[in-house]
Amino acid sequence: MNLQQANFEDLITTYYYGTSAYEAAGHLVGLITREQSQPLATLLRDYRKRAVNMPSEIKFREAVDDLMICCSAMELASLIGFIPIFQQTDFGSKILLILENKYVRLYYEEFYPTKLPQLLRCRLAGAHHVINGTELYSNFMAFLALDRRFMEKLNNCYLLRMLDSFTIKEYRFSDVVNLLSTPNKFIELLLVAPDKRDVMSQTLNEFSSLMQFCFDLRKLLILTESQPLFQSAIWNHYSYWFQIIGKELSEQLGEALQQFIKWKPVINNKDTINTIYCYVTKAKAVLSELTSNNYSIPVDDLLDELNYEVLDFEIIYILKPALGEDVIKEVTDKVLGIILTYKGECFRLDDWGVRQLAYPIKKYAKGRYCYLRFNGRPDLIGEMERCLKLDENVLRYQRNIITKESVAKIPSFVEFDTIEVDEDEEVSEDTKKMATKEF
Amino acid sequence: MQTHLATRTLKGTQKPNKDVQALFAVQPNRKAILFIHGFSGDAIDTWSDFHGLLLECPKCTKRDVFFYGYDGLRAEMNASAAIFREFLDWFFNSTKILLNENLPQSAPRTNDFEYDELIIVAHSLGAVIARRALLDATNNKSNWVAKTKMILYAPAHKGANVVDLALEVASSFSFLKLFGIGARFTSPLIDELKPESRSLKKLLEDTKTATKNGTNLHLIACKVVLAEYEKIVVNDIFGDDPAPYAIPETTHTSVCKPNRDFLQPFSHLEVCL
Repeated sequence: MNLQQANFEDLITTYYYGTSAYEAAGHLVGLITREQSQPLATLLRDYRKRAVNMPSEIKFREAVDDLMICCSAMELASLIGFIPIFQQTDFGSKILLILENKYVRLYYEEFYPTKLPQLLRCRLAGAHHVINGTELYSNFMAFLALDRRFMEKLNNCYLLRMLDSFTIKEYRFSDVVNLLSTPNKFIELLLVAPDKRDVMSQTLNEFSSLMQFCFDLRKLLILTESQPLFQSAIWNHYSYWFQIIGKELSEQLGEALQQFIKWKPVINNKDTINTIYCYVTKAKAVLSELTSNNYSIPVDDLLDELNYEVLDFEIIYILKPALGEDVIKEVTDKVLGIILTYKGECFRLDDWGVRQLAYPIKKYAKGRYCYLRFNGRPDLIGEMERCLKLDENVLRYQRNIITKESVAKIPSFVEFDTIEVDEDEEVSEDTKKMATKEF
Repeated sequence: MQTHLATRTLKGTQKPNKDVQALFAVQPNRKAILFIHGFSGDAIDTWSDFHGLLLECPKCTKRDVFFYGYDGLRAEMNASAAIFREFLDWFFNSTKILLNENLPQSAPRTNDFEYDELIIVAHSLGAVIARRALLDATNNKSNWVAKTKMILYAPAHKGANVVDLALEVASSFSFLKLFGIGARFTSPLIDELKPESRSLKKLLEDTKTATKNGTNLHLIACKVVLAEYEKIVVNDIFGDDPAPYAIPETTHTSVCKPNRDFLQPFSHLEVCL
């Protein structure tokens, strides 16, 4: 048995063919391959600029949301090697085509910024990132079981849509809060048999399911805390609810939970009041934690890493003129160490020796010029500059990003052979400008 | 190491329309475990971390695992038992169809695959339903019954007062029992589960008749596990069931809910595998 392939089939069956993700993909691929940008831009528009009210548009966007959930689950599974690399499959090519489309990207990167589809795009484009560890599989299985319950009991049902500001058959979430102020009515509706439930009784049952889901998700996140990236990815799978509309969700559910504290138990003593108070406090704490962004960082960092373009840089730094070889080596080791730490690559390191400065810097007329060329991500150069700025042996530095156009202008020694000035001579403003133009 | 395929909801053209979750073993050994929840429970939630612990247990790596769901709040007890029996018939007699309709193509099983053993782990009302289903199947001369074994947690076969339990387990709001929920709740199960009810008396009589002269041993539980602080079911021994074990510091609902810091409910099952 090819286990990874079996897992892939399972996930595709559940998240792609088992939801409207499949229809959304078909529709999107059609629009993209026929280069119908305008309909695509309209369908996936920013809802804040132009509201989405037409039922057909709402349905289409819900299908696109299912597709993003599918991408998110596939990324989570890929992250731990639960499924094979699938970029060469028809499914993989189709998903990459969709995820790379400009309008689809706006939808999942800006309008509803969900991270796992972004990671999947990077993965399908060739940036494979896999984590290993014990218990990853069993925890992933626990995630699948939890997510199955979420999909069946909550996704595309009433409560979450109400929390997302939708009105369902004239009911809004505020009606749920109002109803919670009357315990008898609440209990009566909660007991209605599944086949006889109306909007409110169904919503109240979903409220119970959602709170249980929050407790269980929190439990799973604790279970996975030794794998922060995996933990973060699980949380990100639900980031629409706990991050994008997390604040509203937490406030609204908090307000609903608060109603329980006003209830008068049949046995009205300290213990019973305390039981309710403990439940509400615990539930609010869990909600607060799930919506706090505490879990977002590892996935954000990975995404930043994958999104950063590797650039070519050059730095010329000037050391004090009379430093001993050991100090010069120390500075050199430090800058090379930064390149190594940030996974950059050094191409050239030249010591141009002690030269006359264009004008005195920190009262030095001469300085030792060093030239360094390397590549790396922007955070590398940030750290490099910070290090050079703090080093008292460095008089000045200049860095450039090397573009194709500037390759021809790679500095030669001559270009940096600066204007000769006497150390005690006053430097004119023009000379300073010329010098600072170089540095 | 992955020992089971992802959790799936069992589907099938002939399957009774119930929520059954399945975990198929990657290297099956023709043995399975089936969990059946109790009054007002849920196919998986009732069992808490059993799901996760099973996947990590060396004795379970080759066993298929099923979590059977039914309406344990409103449905009539004998009807639930009949539907469960139909499921077991399908499970044993249509195994090939069950597997074809539920396994991914890249994880096929041999054509002659069938189950040699099914351990039924039942909680509360689930114990009554399981025993009734096995009794009826025995009377129907179903040949698969001998492949089954029962392990029971807080069984309700000697009666139960389910009124107070109604919403405590029906919703995640555990404090609702403080608001007199039971008085508002109606269900055929309230009468059916009363000690000495007609249904329970008949269950005992039929079991005694069927197990007379040491026959049909599958109708006698392999193990019975009780809660120390039981307030819902009557903890009397049923027929020829073995002397029970009790788990300290547990209640009716927590007796079947192990977690990584509380393994006793799980250990009781593990030693029987």
